[in-house]
Amino acid sequence: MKHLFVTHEIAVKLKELGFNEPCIAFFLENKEIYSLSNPTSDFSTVTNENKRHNISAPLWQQAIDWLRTHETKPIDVYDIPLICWQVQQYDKNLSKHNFNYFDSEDYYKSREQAILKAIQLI
Amino acid sequence: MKHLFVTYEIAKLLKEKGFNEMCFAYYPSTCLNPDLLIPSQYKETAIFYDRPHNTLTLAPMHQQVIDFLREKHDLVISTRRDGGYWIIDVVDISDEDSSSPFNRTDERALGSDYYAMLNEAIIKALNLIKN
Repeated sequence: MKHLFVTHEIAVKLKELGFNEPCIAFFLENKEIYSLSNPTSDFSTVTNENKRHNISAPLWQQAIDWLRTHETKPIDVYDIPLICWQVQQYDKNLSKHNFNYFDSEDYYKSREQAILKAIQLI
Repeated sequence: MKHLFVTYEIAKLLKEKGFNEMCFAYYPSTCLNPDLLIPSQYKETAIFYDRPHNTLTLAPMHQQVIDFLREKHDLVISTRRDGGYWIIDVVDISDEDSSSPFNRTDERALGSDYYAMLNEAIIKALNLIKN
């Protein structure tokens, strides 16, 4: 299940950018992921404001959602079938800027690189 | 957080199509419209396996379903924004005759609500899978 969560590097960068969504896991000091749950019908979650849980561990899905819905600089990160992961940003003039990360070698690595690029653009 | 998980409708379709991967949540098969649940006995790891009986239906996250469709069924969910609309295509990448999958779509969902369109696209993709 660990593959569902972003890397420690991305989690740290997202925290620096203000990511503070509820997450169902967090990173321990040794960078291992620890997941939470609760025996109720709702989820036990942590955010980056929780001092005990140092760095929350977003899912890839949450990271992409957060980038897409960013208040000031929304950035789309998506998969173009069999070609690449694309980072798409609009500037003040509504001109589109694309950055491609080709997935011919590793689909998941390309997604990671695309998200790192999106984070850099913010 | 619940928006990250598929609806009961999709969860049932996935079960029919053979999805059986570890999940953080499930729907109990005790009523017509069950709530999403996490089992307490697995609280240390928040994961569990499906059972050979029908007392539950696994509730994966959208992310897991997108991976399942691509890896097990060669169906890619491709999302892009066009103005205020989301275009979510389902592309069958097993079709070797297709020279450019980027310019092709087998099913499409179009609308302004991202997750509603994603759910629609996933249902269309699942319906492309032959049992």
